[in-house]
This record gives sequence, C-alpha cells and structure tokens, in this order.
Amino acid sequence: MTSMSRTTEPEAAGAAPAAARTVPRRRRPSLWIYVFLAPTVVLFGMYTVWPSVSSLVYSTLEWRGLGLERSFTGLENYRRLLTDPLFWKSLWITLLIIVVTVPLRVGAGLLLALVLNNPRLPLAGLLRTAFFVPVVATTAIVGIVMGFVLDPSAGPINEVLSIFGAGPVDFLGSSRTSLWAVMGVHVWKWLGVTLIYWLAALQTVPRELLEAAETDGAGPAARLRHVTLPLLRPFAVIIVVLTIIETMQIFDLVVTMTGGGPFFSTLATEVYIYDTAFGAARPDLGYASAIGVAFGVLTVLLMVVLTLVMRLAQRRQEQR
Amino acid sequence: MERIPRRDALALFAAGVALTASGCARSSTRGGVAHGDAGSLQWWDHFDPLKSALTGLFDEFEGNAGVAVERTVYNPDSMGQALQLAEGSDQLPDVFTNLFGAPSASLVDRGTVAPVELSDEARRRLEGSLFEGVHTFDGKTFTVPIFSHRQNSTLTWANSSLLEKAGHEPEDLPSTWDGFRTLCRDLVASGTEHPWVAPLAHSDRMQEHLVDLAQSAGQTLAMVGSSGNGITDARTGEFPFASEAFLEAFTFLHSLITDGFMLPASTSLDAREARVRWASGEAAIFFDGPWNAGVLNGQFGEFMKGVRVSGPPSPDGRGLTARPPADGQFWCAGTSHRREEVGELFSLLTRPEFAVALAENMDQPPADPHALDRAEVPALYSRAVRLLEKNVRTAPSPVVRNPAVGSVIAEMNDIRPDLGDITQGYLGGDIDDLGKELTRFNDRLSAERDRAIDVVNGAGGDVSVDDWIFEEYRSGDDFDVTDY
Repeated sequence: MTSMSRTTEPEAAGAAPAAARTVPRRRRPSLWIYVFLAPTVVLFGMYTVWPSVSSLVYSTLEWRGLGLERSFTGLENYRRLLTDPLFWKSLWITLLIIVVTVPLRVGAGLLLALVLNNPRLPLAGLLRTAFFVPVVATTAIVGIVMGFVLDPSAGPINEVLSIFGAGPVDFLGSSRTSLWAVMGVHVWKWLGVTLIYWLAALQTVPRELLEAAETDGAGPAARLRHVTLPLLRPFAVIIVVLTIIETMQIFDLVVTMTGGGPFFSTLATEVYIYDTAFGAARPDLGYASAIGVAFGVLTVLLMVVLTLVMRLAQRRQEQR
Repeated sequence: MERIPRRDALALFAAGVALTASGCARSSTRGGVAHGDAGSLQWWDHFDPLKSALTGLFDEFEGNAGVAVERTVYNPDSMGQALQLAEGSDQLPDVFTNLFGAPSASLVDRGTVAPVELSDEARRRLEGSLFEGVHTFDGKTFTVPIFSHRQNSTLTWANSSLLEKAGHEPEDLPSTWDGFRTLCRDLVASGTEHPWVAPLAHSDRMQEHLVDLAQSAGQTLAMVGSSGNGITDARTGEFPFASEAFLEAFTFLHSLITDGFMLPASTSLDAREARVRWASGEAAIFFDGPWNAGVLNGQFGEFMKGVRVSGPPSPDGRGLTARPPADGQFWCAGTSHRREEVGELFSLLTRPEFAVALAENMDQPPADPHALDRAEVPALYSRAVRLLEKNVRTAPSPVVRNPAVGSVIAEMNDIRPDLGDITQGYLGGDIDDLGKELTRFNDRLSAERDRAIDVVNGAGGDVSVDDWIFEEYRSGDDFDVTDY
C-alpha cells in the first residue's frame, strides 16, 4: 500500500491522465483475487455448502431413499432423535473416544516430538518415519489386519499373553474390550500426525532463547517449562482442535474392525448415521440426515466451547 | 515471482469449471441406462456365483434378440446403496435384484418396477408357482422365481476326519440338540478344542439360524421376507420372539458357548470368515446353507472331499423348517425402455436348461426340483438340496393373502435392537434378561405394526391384523397357493 502511494503521489501532482491510469492498476489485483478465489468458492459451495444445506432440508423429510417420494415432516426427525437411545449411546461413545484418545495423542505426540526434536538423537529421521508410517497406511487395511492381530484364537497378541498364562482376550468380540481396542488402534494409527504438528510447532521456538536460558543456568526441565512450553501454548489450541476433528472421523476404522458391534458397543455416531442411511434393512435418509445435522451442530458447539475455554485459560495465565 | 498471463489464467479457470461441471453431469441422459453401451441392456445383481449360468443365457439372448446384456455384479452390502443412488439420479438399470430394503409391493406401488410379458411357454412352466403379491400384482407378472423356497441357512456341515477322530461315524451326524452337544463333547475330548464356529458378528445370519432352530423346535411361522418385521406366529398373527420355541433355540445356542464349544474368534467373524476358519480345521462344525458346497468346491476343493452334511439339529430330530413362497430375484425397472426384451430374458429364466445351469452353480437350489437329476454336481451339494426338499415346508405368507400387507411392512420403522442384535447381545453376554428383552421387542413391533396399519388404511388401503392369522396352519405342513 505504501509503495502504491509513493508511485501515485508524484503523478497526481503532475498530470490528471497519469492519475487516471493508476485506477485500473489499483483494481487489477482485486480482480485477480476473485478469479483465483472462484474455483475454491465454487468447489467449496458444491461439496461443502450445498451438501450441508441439502442435509438440513433432508432432515425435515420422511424419505426412505426410494425414488422421489418424500414428505415434509418438519421437526419430527429431530423429535424422534431426542428419544432415540441409540443416538445418545452413539454420542456417548464418540465423546468417550474423544476424551480418551485426544489427550493420549496430544500428550504422547508432544513427548515424542520433544525427544525426536533433539538434534543429538541418533536415527531421529528414521524414528520420525517409523511413527508416521501407520498414518499413510490405508485405514481399511489397518482395520482388517488388526482384526487378525487381535484375534482371540490365533492372534499374535493372544499368543504372547498365553506365554504369560493370561488370556485369551476377545478384544474385538466382547463389548467390554472392543471400544478400548478400537481406541488403542486409533491412537497408534494417528499418533504420527499429532507428532508432526508438534514437530512443526517446535521449529518455531527460537534457539537463541533456549541458549540464553542455558547460559543463565536453566537445566533441560527448566528450559522446557519456562521457555518451550509457553511458546508452544498457542499451537496447543489448534492441535487439540484438529485432533478432535480427526477423532470424530473414526468411521472407517470402526467399520472395518467391529462394524459398530458387538451389540452397539463401538457404534460411533458416524457409523450410526451410515447404518441408518444405507446399512439398515430399511434405509431412512431423512432421519440419518437429522442425526448428521445434530452431530454437526454439536461438533461446532464443542469446538467453540473448547476454544473459549482455552483462550480463557491462556488469558488468565498471561494476567498472572 | 513470475506472473501468469491473464488470458492463460482465465483459460485455466474456464477449463477447471468445465471439468467440474462435466464431472457432476450424469453419465447418461437416457433413463434406464446406468452406464456403458447405450445399445446394451443393463443388468445389476448380487449373485456372483451365477456367472456361468447367466453368461450362457445372455449369449443365447444376444444371438436371438441382437441385444447385448451388460451385467454388473455388486457385493450385497453395496447393492442397496447403488440402487438408491441410481434411482435418485434416474439411472436405474433395466434389470436389478431388489436389495432396496423395501418389500416388492412398495416398489410396484411407486412404479420403480414394471410388469413384463412372458412367452406362452414360460407361463405354462410357471403355472402354480406364481403368487399374487409376490410375483404378480393385479394379475400382471413382474418377476419369476428362479430359486426354490425349500432352503434354510442352518444345515449342519461337518469335517469328517475330526468326527472320526472323535469316534463318530461321519455319515451319521446327530440330528438332535442333545446329540449335537454329545458330539461337541467328544470332539473336545479328542483334541478339537473348539468344535463349533459361528458368525456371531453377522447378526442377520445369526437371526436366520435362530429362526430355523425355533421352527425346528415347533414354532409355526407366517413369513414375509426374513427380517423380524415380517415374521409372525402363524396361529395368532402376533410377533413370536418370546415364545417357548424361540427361548429354547436361544438356550441351545447359548449352551454351546457356555460349554466352551464355540471357537472364541466367532464373536468377530462374519459368515465368510467363519467358513474359512472351519475349512482350515480350527473347528469341526459349521451351520450354513446349501451354497456352502459351491463355495467349498470353488475355494477348498480338497477339504470338500471330507465334508459331510445333515439337516439342522432339533429337539425331536426331524429338523423341519419352513419358508414362504420364494421371491422373484430379478425385476424390470419402471424406467426401462427395453421391457419387451426383459420379458424375453425372464422367459428364458424359466427354461429347464437354465435350472440345470443354476444347479451346477451350486448356489441356492433351483426352483425346478428335477434340475438336480440332470445336473453334474458333487454328491455333497445333491445331498444338501435333497435334505432341504425333504425337510423344508411352505410357510404361509400374509402378503400373498393381502398384498397391502407389503405396504404395512414397508411403512414400519426398524426397531432396534432387532432380533439379530438381540441374538448377538445375548450370545455375547450383553443381555441378561432375555425374556424381558424379547417381550419388549415383540411389544414395540406390535405397536409399530398397528401404527403402520393405520397409515396404510388412512391412505385407502384395507388391511388388518387378521391378515397375519393362519389358524389352520400346522408346523410340518405345506401351505400351498390353494390354501389362501
């Protein structure tokens, strides 16, 4: 902006036509902004806004997914949802998955990142790759392979347990263990992503600050507590939010490992939506859309509350 | 940074928009054609094992009519989704199998399917086997049955070498529940740690086993399809799941688990996985339908030589079950412009040659009981089908008595947990008070059916709970077309 002022001022003082020539030059960048934004706006509109609006409309219909026969039922699907024990159960399961796995991923990811960020650590690159490999493995394949790994009859984990006289444990076939098994695999599979977030955040900690602290006599623990962690705090909010969103998208892993069973014990809300829309003996797209909308609203609310709480905590800490 | 010329940028943007638009456009604008050659007849089904039988039929049809048939085989799990999406975008194929999750009557009402004209010869062959409300609606033929209704999913398949090791004669498999338990005990004693494998994660299949075992324990059922919504006590018209026979069937299956006879991995296996475990020798016994012989023949040929089969075990040793008249498998789309050709194809499905080809595919038994005499099939498949012909009866179907029953079932919302869920929950230890859970399920189904009856009658239908009652029907009887 300042450079633009510098170029226009002399011309404005000297001659009017020269000033007129500057107008298109001022407009040109804004036109290009719209041109380059257009594909994003179009695609975002088609694949995010339009489906969201459609879901909202479908959620007010009784629609079996058969043909064009749909009848408007207003808020009936939402009323049904409030009294549907499976919906509440699925929400509880999703919440439990978030409460258990997000702190694990964020905490373990930070610890690993701190270790792997040490320039003196041998084979750091190899270790980073090793932790990231599960992330790039196809989730469906991971789910199927883990079915074999956790098999109570001949799975390697139960073979090991039998050496110690324990087991067999029916990890995926018992409703007491299935959710924990799924959560364990989820943490293992996605830990690498959280690790990468933290590693990227750690790159922003100025080395001079750490060296200055070291010169002042601060040990590793003091440097971590008084330099590194305070500087990482702004990143923590976004990493937690991203991890929660990823955790809510646990559909493929659950479907391939347990299909939502046994007896609904791993029925995450996404799986319930899919079952209602496509997997049930009788599809119910209207009701599935209502569950989807309600889940979306709750997700946004959760994110808003979380962000507010973390900002509040941050502000209080700054005031101390 | 190098600037992109404005003209190039605009061209790029235009190309992007055009590409996106073309990606979102329908692959075909012609109704009734999903994809592929616009001149071919589109056929979608989920019967993978029927490839050779249908290929021969299609080749012959193409030779006669000059129209090629393009067949797409779907996994049963994804067929319903494919149909929903196809119908929503006006791209249903000319012929499809009904995995919409809706009774045929509602498809007819909605115009999703269309009637076809069969040849005179085909009509003669089908005399006495077409039921109003199942295959014909208002006297018009919509579909033809190619499979026999005399089948169930609970034949007992056994590994003869493990049985011999346990001191049992493989040709003389136990027919009673007590005999079955004794065999399991002997198998454990002889080193087969877990004699029985079951697909507990496949709740639909477990429900089928349960219904078969309850029937073998004397439960008389009227049936529309195989889901809980369509299964009622034939004598009373009420939902029967808390009856003594069902409780006995639950208890029998549960005892196999509490006695430690079930392979532990069963809790997370579906039917295909359970079959593989059984064929690999991890268990000696597996319940499955007649198609098991076909799968074994294709995938475990060597193992198949040592397999023996008998009927479902039952309290009295008779192992009688029943099924309603078989549905038609293939339907002509209401949007199809090739109804005449579809009629010709459906006529070919009724020919004895096709029934023989079906038998040789060793999937579900063909509707023509004589086909097996002329088919070249392993003795194991023949024995399975002969057992079914002998022991499976014709159950009454409320939808044959009154096609509006189909509309009621279409209107009913699913009740969860359903019978399959309850079976899984009870056998997996998640349900303690089974009687209470089943009674609750019955009550909720009854209330839902009453609501659906009101809706259907409110829309001009004429249906009542009486349509579900067949007082005169007895377990072990055939309820033929003349009995309605």
